[in-house]
Amino acid sequence: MIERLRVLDRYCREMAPQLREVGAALDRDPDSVGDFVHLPAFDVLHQVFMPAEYRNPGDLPPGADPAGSSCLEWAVALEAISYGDPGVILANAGPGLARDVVAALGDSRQQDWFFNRLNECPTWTFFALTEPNKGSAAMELETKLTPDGDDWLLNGEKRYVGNGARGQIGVVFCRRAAGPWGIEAVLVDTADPGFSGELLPMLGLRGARISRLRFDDVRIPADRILGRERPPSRRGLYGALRALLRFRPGLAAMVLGIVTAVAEYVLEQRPALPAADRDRLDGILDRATALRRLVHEVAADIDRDEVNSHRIGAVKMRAARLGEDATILAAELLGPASLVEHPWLEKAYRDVRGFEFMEGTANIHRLSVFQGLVRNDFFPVSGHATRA
Amino acid sequence: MTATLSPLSTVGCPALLDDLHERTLPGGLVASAAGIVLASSAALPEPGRLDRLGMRLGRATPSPPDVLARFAAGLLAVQRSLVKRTIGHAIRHLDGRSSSGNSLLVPQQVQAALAEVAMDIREVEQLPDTPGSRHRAYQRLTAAGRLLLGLLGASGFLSDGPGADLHLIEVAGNVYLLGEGRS
Repeated sequence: MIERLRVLDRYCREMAPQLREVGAALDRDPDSVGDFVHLPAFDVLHQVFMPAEYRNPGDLPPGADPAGSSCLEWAVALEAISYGDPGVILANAGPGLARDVVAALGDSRQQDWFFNRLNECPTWTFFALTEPNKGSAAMELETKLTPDGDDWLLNGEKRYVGNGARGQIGVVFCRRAAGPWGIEAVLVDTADPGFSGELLPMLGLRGARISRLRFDDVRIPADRILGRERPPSRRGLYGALRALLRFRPGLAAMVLGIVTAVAEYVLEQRPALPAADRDRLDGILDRATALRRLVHEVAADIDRDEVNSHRIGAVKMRAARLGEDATILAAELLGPASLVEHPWLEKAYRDVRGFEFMEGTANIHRLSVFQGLVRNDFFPVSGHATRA
Repeated sequence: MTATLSPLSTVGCPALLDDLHERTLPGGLVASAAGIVLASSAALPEPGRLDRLGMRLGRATPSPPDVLARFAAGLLAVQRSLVKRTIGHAIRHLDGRSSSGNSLLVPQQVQAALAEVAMDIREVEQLPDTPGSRHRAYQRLTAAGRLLLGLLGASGFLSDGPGADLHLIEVAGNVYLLGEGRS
């Protein structure tokens, strides 16, 4: 890992322990996030997620100097913060997953509209892709964008949208015409008439405020269609896939933060684990080490514009599984009633399950790996993939 | 693909636990070997972290070993029934969703996963009724339940769906089945 990332990693790890309490508070009351946005962890998230040209001055230590658009940087920061609590990241105000779509597709006025809003006050954003009955199959989405004079009207429903009902602005994917190039990404202001959002009751990661959204004739001025000057093949669907691929290594890194925290918690609680149990825990830590290398590898590849969706999905899928395996093992090793006597463990046990479905379930990623094998594109050519 | 299924029971895990308490120890609540009681919010007074999911925690003198053994066997039966019910839920859920014009029940990997879970349930039903076997069965049913929830996507993470019942039965197994018979 290069020195700049080491500095960022150390800084995030120092602040992570105080996030346990924040995570517990968000689990009890997801709306309490406003009480914590002054904490340094939220400043770090702002620094690493905001494009450099829109970033407020922050308090990162000398030498960290975030690029603001590096997947590897996100992976390092997100793992370290998730060691404290992953829910803090998902509950956070800021550009979130919408960031990449706006940064990649938006013209300068659209980027100003979006990112300047985030700097005015804590502003939550959303990325609305998934639809009822369709899952996140982007090419099949049905939310409609129809012309109305010089403007457009947005109609349809989205489901499982993080921060959707809490957000002030967001990106909504919708269909202007048939086919993959008929998909558009539009900027939506939730104060506009016709927008409504409703929280969905979730088992874990409650700070993410996963929501159902409805759009009933929401008026979209033409200048809110992201990348409208670009060819159709380089906007809507292109933007969605680009954002998802760039965010997946970060999700995997978040699970690794939880896994490390859980393993260390077990060792603190049971320092004299029998050898057989210690061996099982070491097996979890081995897998975390291996996956961390793979996360950094795919993230560095993305930063160099070498995007392999099969490998990226595989890393996210295996990390999600490791998270479940680690928390199940921890509950067993800490003995009877551990899930009621260790509230933090019970929360981690619930939270990690959320990573299975976020940005594609395991089965979707397995199929993608299969496609990679058929195309002879899954295993890196020797010496091709890099290590951070 | 059109699935033909029996109507699903809607009785949640907390109510099923209360029923098990009543059948095992009429008029009372069974406390684990560590002195923990898990029951519905209607059966226990103190609200806690699991209240949101309809379950509460209490503390009491551990119940006698024979009572605990009967409760443990019943708990495993509740877990089997919840996993079995989730198969039905998953078939309905997937049958109502489509990709590329096909029901999500069509992919072979989905069909194989559902079949694996069904076979797990049948096999676990035949295991000997001993403390160690019960705990191993609990672990296998936990894994089977997780496999099913993976098929449900985000809906398996809703706190008013089968994911919540499977979480609660996992917590209950952690309390009553883990380490059973060792003390």
